[in-house]
Amino acid sequence: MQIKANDFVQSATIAIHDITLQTALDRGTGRGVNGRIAGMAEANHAAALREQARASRLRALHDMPDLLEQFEQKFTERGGTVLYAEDAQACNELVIEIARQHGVHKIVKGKSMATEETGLNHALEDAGLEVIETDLGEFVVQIDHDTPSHIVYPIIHKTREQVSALFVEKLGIEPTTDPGALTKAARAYMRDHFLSADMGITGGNFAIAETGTIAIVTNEGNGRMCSSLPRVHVAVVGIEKVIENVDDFGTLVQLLTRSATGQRLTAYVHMMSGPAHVEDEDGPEQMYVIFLDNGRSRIRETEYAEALACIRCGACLNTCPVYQNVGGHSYGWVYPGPIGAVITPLMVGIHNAAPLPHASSLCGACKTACPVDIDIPAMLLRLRADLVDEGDTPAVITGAIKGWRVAMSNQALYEASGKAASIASRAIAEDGQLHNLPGMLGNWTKNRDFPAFAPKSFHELWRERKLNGKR
Amino acid sequence: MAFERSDKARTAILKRLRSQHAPFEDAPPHPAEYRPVTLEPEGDLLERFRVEVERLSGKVYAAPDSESAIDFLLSILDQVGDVDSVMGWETLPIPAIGGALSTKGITMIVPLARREGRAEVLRASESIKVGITGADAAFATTGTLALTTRDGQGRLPSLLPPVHIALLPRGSLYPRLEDWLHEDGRYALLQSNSVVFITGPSRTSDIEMQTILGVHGPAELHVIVYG
Repeated sequence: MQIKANDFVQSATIAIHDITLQTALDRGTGRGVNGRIAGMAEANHAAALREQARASRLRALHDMPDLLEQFEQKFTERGGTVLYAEDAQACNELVIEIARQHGVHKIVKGKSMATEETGLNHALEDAGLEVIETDLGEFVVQIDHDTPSHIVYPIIHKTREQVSALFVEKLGIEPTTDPGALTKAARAYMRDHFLSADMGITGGNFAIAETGTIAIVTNEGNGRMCSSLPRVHVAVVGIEKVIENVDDFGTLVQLLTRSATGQRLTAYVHMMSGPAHVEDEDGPEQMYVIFLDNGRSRIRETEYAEALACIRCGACLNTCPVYQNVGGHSYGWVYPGPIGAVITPLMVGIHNAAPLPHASSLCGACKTACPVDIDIPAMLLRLRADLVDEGDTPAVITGAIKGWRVAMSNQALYEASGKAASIASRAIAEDGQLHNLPGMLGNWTKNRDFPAFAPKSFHELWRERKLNGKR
Repeated sequence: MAFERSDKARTAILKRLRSQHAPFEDAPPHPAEYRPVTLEPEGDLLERFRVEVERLSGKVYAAPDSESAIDFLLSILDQVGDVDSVMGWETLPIPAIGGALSTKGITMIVPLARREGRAEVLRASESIKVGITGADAAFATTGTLALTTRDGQGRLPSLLPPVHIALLPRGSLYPRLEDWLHEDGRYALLQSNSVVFITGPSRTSDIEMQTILGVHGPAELHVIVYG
């Protein structure tokens, strides 16, 4: 997928003024947040569960090479094939090679962020293969030549009216804005493809090393169709998805669904440990797991290794005041929101995503919402420091930091600048708010107001109290 | 050619991971006992299971014995209407169902969608409205069924038809997912290459987060708990 993360400010500015997008985001993120809160509130001591889930992820990251090998051994014993890909291109080539070997023409695909990362659909189409996205949201994205803007709700940026117009144009349906009728239309269109596809591609939410099992978490049932109907099934899975055992899985899968949608469990959790047995009545004859690295192993040795603990629930997106306003596309690559602002610079190179670490108010809502307690704000701060160290920081910020440093290191200067700001700001404020700050400070007031400074600073008040003999 | 590159990638990735200083040396050890995600259910398990499944628009029927389970099954088929054939597991937990269906003139099909027959069987199965299966276990606090695939227990009957009817022996109802997963579930995952948890009917919330039932999987889920 093309990287447009350096356009964050421009994209976000457009997004903030896009009424349709704002409507869609308001309708979507609110329900996501409420679902998670309700889902976690009834859990058996949410804080203790988060610790349990976090510990299982950290252990797995520590043991990653052993667990990958253990998974491979188990899964191979059970009749499956494990392959590895260093990067996006290698991954796509593997999928194409598998398709060639098995004489595949038509592919049905379930939702997978890893294959978004590799741009698999384009690669398959270029290789002359027919590929149909079968998750409703991803299907809409595919026929609209769009990209997903949320890792759980791919078309959170679209209104029902937009989906309707698209289906009228591409599927030839009668106009309707009823989500039920739109869903039926998509189901009818895809049914035939499911029954005639030669290969199914899915992602994998977890790879359980102990049993050699790939688990996928879905609601529509398309994931199960992709992994049960065609004769070949390929699961593309990031290497960080490997976990140690079945008990860890029990905790993680339930925290994933509760955090993502507020569901106790999604409608389907499908656990696959190889192709169908010979005596099975149905199921794939071949099953492949492709472990994708694409930069993950390098992140593991940095101080950002914790970002690999992410289980992709999307809770940090829903709860983030920045995401709620700018939407997923502004982040300019596959992974949006707070976790995207961390992962994207790490995966595509910090200079290709320089604005993202700044795309946060550091309010900490993301960390609070995270089911594995990833310290996203701390990592964003560290990334900002990396940017400063490498001289890749907007002049506004470096200038401000320099000025701040000078002022802060001299008390008289500090107090004088505060006094000046107080007098000047009150002189131009209306109702105590500043609507147009001068110079580069105007960047702030373009989109919001700034409160005028108080008439007296804390220092002044404190001195007065002392003079009056109070403590 | 691409496969050879996979071997090289495998070696390189594992070598890189092993040569690194592994992160999180201080990660907490395994808990002696895992904390289950849901609280221990209070009161009647079956009642709790019913509440959870019905919250998701599924239906639960409590049958005192297998005969009344068959009655429930037949009345569901009546409600669906115009059912002349159903698909199902070859080995249903109540074997008498086959006979009961045929006296009603309903044909039971066990789809064998494998090898050469796959495409044809899938097409032929498409018009069947009802799938009948057993269930290996169920979890009360999440309203979940666990189905394992093996000889006689196919994937399709719980997936393709718009109506899914599952027969669950009362003794297979566990309080929580973890109560099954630790031993029986572990065994099931080691034995079967396809285990599925089903929690309510198929659903989507992709369009403006409005819940719609019955996308690709069944729109209706009926669970008959018997015994």
